[in-house]
Amino acid sequence: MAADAGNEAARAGSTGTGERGQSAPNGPSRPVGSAGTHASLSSEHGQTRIADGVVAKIAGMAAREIPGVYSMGTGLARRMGQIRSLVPGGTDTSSASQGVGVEVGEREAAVDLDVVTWYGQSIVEVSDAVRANVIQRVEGMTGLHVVEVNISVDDIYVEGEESESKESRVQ
Amino acid sequence: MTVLDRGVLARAVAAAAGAAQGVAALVPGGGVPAVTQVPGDAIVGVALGGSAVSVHVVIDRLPLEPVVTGVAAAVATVLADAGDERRVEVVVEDVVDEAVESALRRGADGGEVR
Repeated sequence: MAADAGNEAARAGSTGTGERGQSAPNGPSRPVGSAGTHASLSSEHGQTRIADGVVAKIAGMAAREIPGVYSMGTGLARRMGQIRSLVPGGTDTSSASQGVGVEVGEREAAVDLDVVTWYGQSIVEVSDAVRANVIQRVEGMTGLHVVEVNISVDDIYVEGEESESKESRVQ
Repeated sequence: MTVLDRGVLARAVAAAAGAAQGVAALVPGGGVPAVTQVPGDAIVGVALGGSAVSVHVVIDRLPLEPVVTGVAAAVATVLADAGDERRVEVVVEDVVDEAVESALRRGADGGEVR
């Protein structure tokens, strides 16, 4: 997804929320100036560590809140998700982070998403909406500063084309 | 992104455009639907583009020009208040049938139709 994700993010980012991504292009690195705003994770009395999986779950749920997102994950991951959902005892929440890759630092996080959208709508609009919501939710729930959200649109779902399982459309 | 969250901005734009004189409704229009997606919802008729905010309306009175000017002014006020420097685009997607009929009747009576 490397090249595609980069192009898509650059194109979509330039239409709206690009400033955040450009401020720190090298992923999680120790911020110099923003210590005051997101410093509650490391205080003089100790540090709070947030696992990658937590950020990935929050980002996955946030992306799925946008109605234009049909499903998440690359083709193989979606198939595996379908099979997993048929296994008794499998929990629904385990698929929340499907299609999400994160890098979490001490105070910052970077998120990569693989999404499938519906045919007939503006991909730029969907990716703008996803990016804004993921940044808002992750920053709000974890206190981490989200430096970038790269979105890779892997597929587009045409209604009636095939009946994928409904497990991951809306949570 | 400016001061306002995009959902808040889109709702404010939709409210301002919907309240303008002569606007019957905001619609997604033909083609790629003009909507702003927010968590769990979509605000119809408002598209936040990179350089322009476009508003898609159905109009219920003729002539169009004063209505369109009013919508553009209302939306521009919202954007200015939000510190947003994007242009405003008003797209007239449809005109209510009765408005067209009454305009034609006025025309038949010797009135002015524009």
